Amino acid sequence: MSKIELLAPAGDLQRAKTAIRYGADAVYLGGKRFSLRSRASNFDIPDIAEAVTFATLHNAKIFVTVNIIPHDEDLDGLAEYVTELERIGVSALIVASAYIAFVCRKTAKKMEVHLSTQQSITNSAAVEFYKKLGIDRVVLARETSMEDIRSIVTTCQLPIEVFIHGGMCVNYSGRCTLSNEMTLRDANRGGCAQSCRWKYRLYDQGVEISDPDVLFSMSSKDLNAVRYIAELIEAGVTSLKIEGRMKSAYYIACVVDAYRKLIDAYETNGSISDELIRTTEKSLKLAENRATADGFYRHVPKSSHHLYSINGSGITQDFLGSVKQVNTDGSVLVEVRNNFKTGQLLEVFSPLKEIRQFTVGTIINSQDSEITVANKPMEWVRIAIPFTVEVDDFIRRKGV
Amino acid sequence: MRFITTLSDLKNLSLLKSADGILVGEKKFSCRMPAYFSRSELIQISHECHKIQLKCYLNVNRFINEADLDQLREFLEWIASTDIDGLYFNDLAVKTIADQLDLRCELIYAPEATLTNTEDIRLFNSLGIDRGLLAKEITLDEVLTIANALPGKVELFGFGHLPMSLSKRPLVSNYLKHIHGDVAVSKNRTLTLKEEKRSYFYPVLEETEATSVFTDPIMNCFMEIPTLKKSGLNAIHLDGLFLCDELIAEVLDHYRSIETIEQAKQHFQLFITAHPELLLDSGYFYKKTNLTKEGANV
Repeated sequence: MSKIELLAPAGDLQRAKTAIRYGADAVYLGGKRFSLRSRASNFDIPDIAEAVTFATLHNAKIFVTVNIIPHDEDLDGLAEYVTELERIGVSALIVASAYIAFVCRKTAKKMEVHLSTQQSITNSAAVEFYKKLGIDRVVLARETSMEDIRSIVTTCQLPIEVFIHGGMCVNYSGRCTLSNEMTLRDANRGGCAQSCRWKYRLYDQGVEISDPDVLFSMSSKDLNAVRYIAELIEAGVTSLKIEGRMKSAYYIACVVDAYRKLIDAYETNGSISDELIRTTEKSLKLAENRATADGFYRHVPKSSHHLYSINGSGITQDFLGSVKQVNTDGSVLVEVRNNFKTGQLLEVFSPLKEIRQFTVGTIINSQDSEITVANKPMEWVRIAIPFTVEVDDFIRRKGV
Repeated sequence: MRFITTLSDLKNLSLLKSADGILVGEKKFSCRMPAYFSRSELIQISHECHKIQLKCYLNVNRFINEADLDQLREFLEWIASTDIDGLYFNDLAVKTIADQLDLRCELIYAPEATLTNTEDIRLFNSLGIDRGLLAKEITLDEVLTIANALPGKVELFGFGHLPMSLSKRPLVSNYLKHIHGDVAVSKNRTLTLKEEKRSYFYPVLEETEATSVFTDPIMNCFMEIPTLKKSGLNAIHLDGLFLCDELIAEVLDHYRSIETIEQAKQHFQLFITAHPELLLDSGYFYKKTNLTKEGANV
């Protein structure tokens, strides 16, 4: 069985590097053109080239999303753009339009072409159609069950990628135009306003049947497939994908680290222990996150998979800052994100290392004054950490 | 240019005799149709259509689960044994299996929101798909550009509530269960959703493995018919979901009669006078949906 790929999102260069440092085998990101997630700080060509260089140094790969559903006006410059991505060493393009797939395949023979989940592929016969178009890998719809995934992988000769964590579109991807109608923002061209997560009153023949205190919403809990990793590996899936190009570096670090440990445990032991699953579930709760559920893996989502009373992400206050500089005297400069104070027990979250704890001693602020509480977001403060840390390591409240 | 309409009851077929084709639903592989018919009913409908020179098309617009592929294959084998003229399909599994079976009926790709440009349709056409049903979210200018570039290969949604979403989840049942414990969903197709800041009541329809939300206004193209008739468009669709065959027949007769802008104005006036209760709009013909978060009024 070949090693399964852990594929992480990145909205900018820092997040791409974070994903790779914390154990992603590949990172997908969006360029300035032809990509969804228009708010995800999309990369320009020099940024993508730097991401490729960093990835290559760490034995990882960079995939670029070219996944809009284009109108005629959007297609200018496509072949030139694809050629440029190939020149700088991108490993694969993720596409949603058959024509864009065709152009990519014809223009850039060294890069793989992956079919995006925007095409909502749920069966092996649809995979077969795209195989004939020269597609190298298919990302299945999130609506596909574990049983169907197993069968598709067995039946198809193309590598299969599935989502394991992150936001869930409540509708089939690519087939939702709620945002178009309600805000004139095209979800299929990166403008999704998440109208599905809004509150609605439900009427039958003009009479309200919704509860005014708990209105109707299509908002879904996020996907969490921690308990399915062993099954997915055994099914022969090629790549496990994390959603979230708009998520923070800390979130990406937490999620990548969690799934890296699960995959590594399986590859070492041939199984994943219940204890590791429980620990991983706890550690994922330290990431800023919505409530999670297991999507369609076991059955079609029930009411418990929806968010009716709350609207969106529950941002945790556990992430306190990141290391920005390690001084020769052993002190470190930390960029503050949430409050911490002298005497508090904190932990350092580093790539591919065990969590290490320390108690905060003296805190020196940016005016070189001693303070007892660091509470100015983005200020760099100096503290002592009694073990070796590296730039971009995360500091958080004592968690798991 | 042809006109294709849905049909909710065989007894109304004669009302729609001025159409060129009828689009009908089947119980397993269709969704969001005014009615669903059994195989024996489909054979009868097809037979009756042909007697009055109408083509009979079947809407196979469900996403196909892997576990349902054998049933799909068996269904397409059955189609091959009938005189049904063509299939509208949303899942490309239909094309793969139709090719394997050498199915000789018309194949029209109708993924609704994702056929938005000339080149995708040209490519699908080169792969043996006869025509494409355009996304509803493109402007009239874009429709005309595509239709004129690919004459006879493109169809268009021209009347009805526009679907805005398709979920595999039972969204209404799940919600009612959450607030009440367990409540049966109305089968009367009378459910609507209203968002606080918007005046519209969006029809919502929950069916087996499919919940959809639709626009409140009924999209129409009375005023655009003269231009569309001169384009390379193959067909215009009239969808009777949440409506009735009689209304569709009335619109069809108006559309048939319109040749000039003057006639369009007259027919539109007649129609809205006869149906002041209907909320009508022109869909996305004059609305570009390319705003960003910064430019949109959310």
